[in-house]
Amino acid sequence: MDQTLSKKTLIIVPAYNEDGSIARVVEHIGKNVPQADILVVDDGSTDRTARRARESGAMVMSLPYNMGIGTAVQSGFLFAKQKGYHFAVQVDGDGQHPASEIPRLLAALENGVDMAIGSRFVQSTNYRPPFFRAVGIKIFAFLVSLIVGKRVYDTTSGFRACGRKAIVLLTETYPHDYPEVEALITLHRNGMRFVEVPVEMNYRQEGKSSISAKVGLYYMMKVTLAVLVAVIKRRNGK
Amino acid sequence: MMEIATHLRVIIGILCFALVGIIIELIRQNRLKEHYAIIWLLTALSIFIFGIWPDSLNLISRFVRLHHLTTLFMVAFLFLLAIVLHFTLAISQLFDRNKRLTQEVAWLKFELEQMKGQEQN
Repeated sequence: MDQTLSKKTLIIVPAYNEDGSIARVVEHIGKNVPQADILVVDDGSTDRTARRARESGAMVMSLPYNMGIGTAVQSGFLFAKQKGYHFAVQVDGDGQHPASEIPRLLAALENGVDMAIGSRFVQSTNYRPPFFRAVGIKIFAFLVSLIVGKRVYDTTSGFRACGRKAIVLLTETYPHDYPEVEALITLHRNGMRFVEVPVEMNYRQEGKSSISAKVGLYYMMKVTLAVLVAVIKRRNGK
Repeated sequence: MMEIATHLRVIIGILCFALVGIIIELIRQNRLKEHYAIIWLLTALSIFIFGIWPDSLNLISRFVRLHHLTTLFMVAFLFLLAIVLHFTLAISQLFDRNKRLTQEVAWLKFELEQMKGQEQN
């Protein structure tokens, strides 16, 4: 833990039209991880997300137009790489990721692990997803477990902490939409390790899920295809 | 020998020249990249070849053992398929570049604001 404190940590908060919750999210992070820098990546918001974030003391980087959460998070990774951060933690701007759990994610990185995932399913938590989402989550968990060769429970959680090696890798390849599942395969294929850390999440304070019923089918097909493609894709730099 | 009525040949000829004319005009106006113009010029050329030398179609028909009309559709379909694939590749590449560009812009804007902030202090 002490070693973690001496290393530079960046909290990346991707946000698209979250001016209702962004200030509270930034404040919570500041309280729970005072040693970390907070970067809000404003993904082309049309409301006052950027201003609210700046007022609450975060650094703000604004994309010129909405590019999808993957691109926003990757911008954060690029920032972390350029500025020499050792750790980067992704925390969603809608307030569903509890900032109080960030230290536990960071602690998990201490053992030479490249990524720590805040997982809703490792232990039984209070999260009960709607039926179709539950099915999707099961399918991805099965696919990823099969490819990675160990049991993975929560592949879709966006609450993650990355070490330096993973940061650099993900600045090179990171899907622009629904990136979570595919990123795990990318990591695995490049010989990196990730662990799951059980966390209890808050369920949606403001706004709607980025995955509505309408895009649910697209989401399933896109991610499944992406996972299968990621297995046969050439490795970075080879 | 396959015979095509004279008026049909004239129509095909006009079509080809019109297509080539439009392409050259679009390039001249800077609205079409030469890179993509090549595809369209090849399209015009192949229509022209089928027009003046219809037996080329018969040759292909005999080779693939299909009726010449079916062959015509097949050739046209494959050609369009190739063009669409080419465009999808181009769009994918553009998408990646666009993504990098937005990230660079966001980064530069951030750095610029930092520098401005430091100057004021």
